[in-house]
Amino acid sequence: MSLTPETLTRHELNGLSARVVDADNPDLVGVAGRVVVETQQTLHLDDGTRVRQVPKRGTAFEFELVDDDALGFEHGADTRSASETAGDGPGAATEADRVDAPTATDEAAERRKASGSVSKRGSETPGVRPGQSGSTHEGSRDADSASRDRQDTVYVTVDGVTLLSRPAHRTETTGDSRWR
Amino acid sequence: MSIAAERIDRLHTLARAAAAAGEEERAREYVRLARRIAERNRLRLPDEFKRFTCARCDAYLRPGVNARVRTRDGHVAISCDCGEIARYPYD
Ligand SMILES: [Zn+2]
Repeated sequence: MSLTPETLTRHELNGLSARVVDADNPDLVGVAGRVVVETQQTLHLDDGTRVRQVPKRGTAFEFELVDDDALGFEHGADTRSASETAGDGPGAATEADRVDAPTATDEAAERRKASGSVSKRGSETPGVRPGQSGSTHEGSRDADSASRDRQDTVYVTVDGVTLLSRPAHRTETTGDSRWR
Repeated sequence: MSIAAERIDRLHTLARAAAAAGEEERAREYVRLARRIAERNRLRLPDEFKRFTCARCDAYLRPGVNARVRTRDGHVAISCDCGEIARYPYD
């Protein structure tokens, strides 16, 4: 379970590079930087000169997952059901074609990666990311347009509402318990 | 490795980087968050994490900067600027 687009909303956000792509407050759109502080309702983005406090509610964040994260991402893609990956066949193929992977295995990995990033729709990933505390439910998840420009970087767009939770509680799977 | 364990790992790295960059309070918050995640998920904190953080004030300890390391008879003593002393056996 490494940091993948599927696990992002339950994983550590501190240290990730993020950008505000849409916000209720127009002044916050375009704010980019590393997440340095997370509170229940806000993220603090350090853009190098100042730290901007951005509310999670009403904001769409684009997180940048790189390198080792991307490797983990492939891992995550492996565990996904075949039907999901098959559904994105054409798109994945074009993605893989664009990158000139040197070996067949690399290309296969690339394909998986690509399909994973295209098929990021809340409705498609209920099995991968079980619902957690009331504030973050599956339907409201808006992490869809995960685009990718380089081999090792994946951009994931997340609706800030799905992150509304205390930082230490976000990882937990309230409601998954069998002890009832 | 579970997500919680990975978060603790990442927070450890972040705390170390923040302490090295002179952001002691931020490092403290990372350490506290890591502790909180560990206790909520019933995970054991990594030994390295335990030895480089202060149990009393949650500071990320940097020997020579905000911590003193002394080799005593039978144990290592590391004392934080806040006065807390942790002792570890050799080996
Ligand atoms: Zn201390």
